[in-house]
Amino acid sequence: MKRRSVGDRVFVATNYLLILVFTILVVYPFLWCVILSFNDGRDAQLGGIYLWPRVFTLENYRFVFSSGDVLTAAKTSIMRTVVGTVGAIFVTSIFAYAASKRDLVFRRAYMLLGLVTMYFGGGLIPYVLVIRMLGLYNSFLVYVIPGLFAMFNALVFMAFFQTIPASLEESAKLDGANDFLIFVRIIVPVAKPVFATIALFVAVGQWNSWFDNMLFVREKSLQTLSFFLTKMVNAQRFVDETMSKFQTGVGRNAVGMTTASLMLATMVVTAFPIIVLYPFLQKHFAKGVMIGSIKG
Amino acid sequence: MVLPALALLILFRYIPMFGLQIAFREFMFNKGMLWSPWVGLKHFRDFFTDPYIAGVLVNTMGISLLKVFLMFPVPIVLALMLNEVRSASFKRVTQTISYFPYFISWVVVALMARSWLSASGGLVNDILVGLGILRKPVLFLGEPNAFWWIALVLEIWKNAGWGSIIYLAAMSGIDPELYEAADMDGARRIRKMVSITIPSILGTVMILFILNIGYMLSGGLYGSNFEQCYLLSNPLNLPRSEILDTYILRIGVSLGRYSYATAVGLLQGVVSFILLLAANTGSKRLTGESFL
Repeated sequence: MKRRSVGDRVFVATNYLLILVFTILVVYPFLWCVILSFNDGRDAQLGGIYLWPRVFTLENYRFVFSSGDVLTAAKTSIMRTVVGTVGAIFVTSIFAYAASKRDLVFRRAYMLLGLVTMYFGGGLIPYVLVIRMLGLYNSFLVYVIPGLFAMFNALVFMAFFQTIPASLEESAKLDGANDFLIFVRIIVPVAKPVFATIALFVAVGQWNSWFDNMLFVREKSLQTLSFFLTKMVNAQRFVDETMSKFQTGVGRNAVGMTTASLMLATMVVTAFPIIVLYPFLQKHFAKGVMIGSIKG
Repeated sequence: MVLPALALLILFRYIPMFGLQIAFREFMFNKGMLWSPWVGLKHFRDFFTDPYIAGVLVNTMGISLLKVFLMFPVPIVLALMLNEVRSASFKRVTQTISYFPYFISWVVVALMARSWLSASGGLVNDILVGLGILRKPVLFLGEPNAFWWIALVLEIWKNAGWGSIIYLAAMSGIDPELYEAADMDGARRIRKMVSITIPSILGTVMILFILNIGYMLSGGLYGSNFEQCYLLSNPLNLPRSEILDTYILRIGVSLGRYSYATAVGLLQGVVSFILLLAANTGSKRLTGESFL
């Protein structure tokens, strides 16, 4: 690099500073919530906590982890995320693989059928009625089945599959392998990054999803963690009740806890898997999004 | 291999589309979608005389327009700024952090927002009172007029970082020779940004703008309006937080007016599609960029 003009230097410095400010504004409010979740709830109401808990306590987390509701909900959330993601990847990728073959019979019709759904839909109420009609009400399957296929994800898969040279498959075909075997043995290993990307997005969507739970599932044992959290957000009373039950049930004094501090602890628990897995997966999705955006 | 996907499309996409006809019927559970009595345009007439609908539409459009004007440019500016960063590690760290909230659910964000905005020990009140800007803590979520702004700021916090990724992708496709040529001419960085980077991403900007207009009545560009309004509403701010999607949910699912709610949803869908087409045509005329 040669000499830089004063103007450029000011520009560069301002630029770094502004990005730094933005980054802090993103990360700090989140950290603040985490800090507060480790602080005594009553004390937190006084304010003035910025960088470190003032009255450190693990009570909020003790309460969250000893509440059977949270643990059951976490189990359901893990189940729906695993089953939903594996299923969606399977259904979407085999569709995309078949549809990326030019010689597929009725290929254009299948594509059209899928593309239309990206722009038109029946809206909320007809969807609710169809779910009821299909008997998916109050069943774990309602978390999984409707989300098994999304055209957008199929398009991302297709964009990748089309870049795979045909010669790769032809040699296997000569050895007598059928389409499905070729897909599993040859395509899947080559297309790992796109599988990782879509899996990440589907999994995050599954983990964060609460609306289907609210609409279709009353059964308490099938409650998801995200929905449990919305109930906390919506009804302070709900939390108060749970807390009083806890206090009488276990017979210990929980004076320092407030509904707010408990919500924060539950929030951290809900966000935890994403926080932990995020840095590892981040490099994958950046690549995947590039693939998706080049296509679009 | 395509069969499972096709079956799912028909069951969960096409049958509900077919079910839209209950907007013209008086839906009854015992008669079902096909045999409930036909009432023609009754529910559409009801729509225009619904005393709540004006307020709902104002909120739907208000929140969306606020986001179009004040949220939409943020990821573009952020991408332009990140594009000027030469230090790879600084870029990676800031990008990793700024994408992060996109993956956190609105439920979690709504819950955090309650803490930030709380009148007892909330971060925002704490700072504003501490700096002497406010004399006493304000119950922000109870102020109807603050709601749209809260929705805007939370949207920027959650999605602006992620939104920049698509512009960065567009910038990575710019031919480096353009910058080299500009260097030869002794162009300053700001000059290169204005004359090379910005024109190169204009197509991407226009496509996202079209989508933004198309989603104005529904979820918004990042699909967050419903969850924001549903999760952060309370009886105090409801006059400013009720939007079409929450209204459809309330009258349809909670109050059981299935047919009327379907009619409102159908109108929403039709107008959204017209908006999308109009924005697309407008963009094609003005910049030559189109989406459909």
